Amino acid sequence: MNIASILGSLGGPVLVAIVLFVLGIVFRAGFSKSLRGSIYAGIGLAALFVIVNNATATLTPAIQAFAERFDTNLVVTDVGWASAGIAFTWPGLAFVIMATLVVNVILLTFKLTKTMWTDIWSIWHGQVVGGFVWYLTDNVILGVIAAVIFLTIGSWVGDFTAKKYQEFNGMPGISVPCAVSFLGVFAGPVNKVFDIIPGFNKLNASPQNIRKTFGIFGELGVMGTVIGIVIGLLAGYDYAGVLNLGIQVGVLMIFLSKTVSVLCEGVIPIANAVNELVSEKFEDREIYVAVDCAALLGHPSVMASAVIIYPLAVILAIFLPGNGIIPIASLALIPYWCGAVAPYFKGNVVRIVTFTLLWMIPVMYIATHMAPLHTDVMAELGLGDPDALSSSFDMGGDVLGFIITKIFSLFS
Amino acid sequence: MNKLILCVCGGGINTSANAKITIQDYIEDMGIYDIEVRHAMIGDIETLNGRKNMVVVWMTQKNEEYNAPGFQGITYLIGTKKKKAALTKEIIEKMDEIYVEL
Repeated sequence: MNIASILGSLGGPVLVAIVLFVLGIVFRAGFSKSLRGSIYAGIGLAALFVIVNNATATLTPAIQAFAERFDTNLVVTDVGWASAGIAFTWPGLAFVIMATLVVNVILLTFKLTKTMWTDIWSIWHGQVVGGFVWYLTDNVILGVIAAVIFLTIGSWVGDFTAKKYQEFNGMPGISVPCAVSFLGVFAGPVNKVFDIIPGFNKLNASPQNIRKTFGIFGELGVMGTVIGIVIGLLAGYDYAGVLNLGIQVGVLMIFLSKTVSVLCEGVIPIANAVNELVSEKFEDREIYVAVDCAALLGHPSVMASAVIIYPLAVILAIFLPGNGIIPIASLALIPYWCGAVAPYFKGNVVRIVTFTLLWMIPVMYIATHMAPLHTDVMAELGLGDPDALSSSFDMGGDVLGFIITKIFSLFS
Repeated sequence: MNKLILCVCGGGINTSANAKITIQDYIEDMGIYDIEVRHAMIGDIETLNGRKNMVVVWMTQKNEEYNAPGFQGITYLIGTKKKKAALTKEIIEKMDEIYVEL
């Protein structure tokens, strides 16, 4: 028995717990905080496996039935942030954390970035890119390099969008290097285009009225159940099947984020220890501290835009020629997209909705295209069924992640 | 009705949970054990609107229309230990100010 086979037999959740425990000790989070954190992270990840397996078992047959009945290409199951499972179970997890920290500290020291990105939770987006590249090239090091490149570009995108986000949200000193900020880079120029379209440039809508009109249908649990019912009807299920599918999709929407929440709760004390250690080195510099994109969702225009987009996204997916994925779990990502672009559209709901729906088009095509790779990687890591096509907007459909993965695939 | 500090962010997963854990540590260091600290996402807090004995810590921009005293909480993510302690003290003082026996 060698190390590799021992580690391989442990499985994702246990490995994550061990890696995080060691990181916690190394970065001086303390024994009990590291132990508790690592256990909760393992539990969260194991629970993620449970929810994803349940979702694909109930949802995939329905989606296949619907696709067959109507002879469409919509065969990909959207598992949303279950893709984060790849981030925490691929072999390069610890290496990407260490490498990103080292690169970030070097860039900060030489003033090549202003963003101190030590939030080891948020780097999961880059970890998934690493996972894709590792699988394609069978090379962990290439995966690590790809992940670090993705994340470094992220910190520059964070720099670029920082002032806008700080002003709009009234929060000085922050930067948001999350994958969604990439939308912010394009939102600025697009807003200038919107300005010169006659008629359209005068349109807006009141966030408060929108929230009131949508009521409970703006909540993901209700929205998910409605979508599940619609899919059940389209799949030709009987009334019991339709209603039960609705509830199962509701389970996915609510409990996926609950498992991620527990996983996060485990990572937080270790992430904070890393944060404190690094920020002490840069105390007297003008740096932006990287925060999660959830900080950008406060303006009323953000959630108002999101609730309008939920049903429109599903309709768009169904009618977009050649698209293979109906967004279900990935609908939870939409508020983050809106939050990333709202400052550039000055809270204009009409513009936020329009831009986000337009952005969704390439994302859906990319997510469809990446579905086989996504499915294979998930299956390889014990996260899913190799015969059930799965993908997600984040990170299956991520534009920057796709570009980097494609470039690195030339090395396979 | 017990004292509640509600930490709010966009997702209710990471940022608000982080603030909750930090605040819990600080108030325990201050010897305070009668305040519940919770985290939530911005879409789910309507049911608590107007709850007595509650202070909200916004990890997003403050919602001035929400019926509870609120603080901008990003300091818990980006501030020094001194700033975090000072903000916690302000929050506790506000809680004491608004507290009513129910």
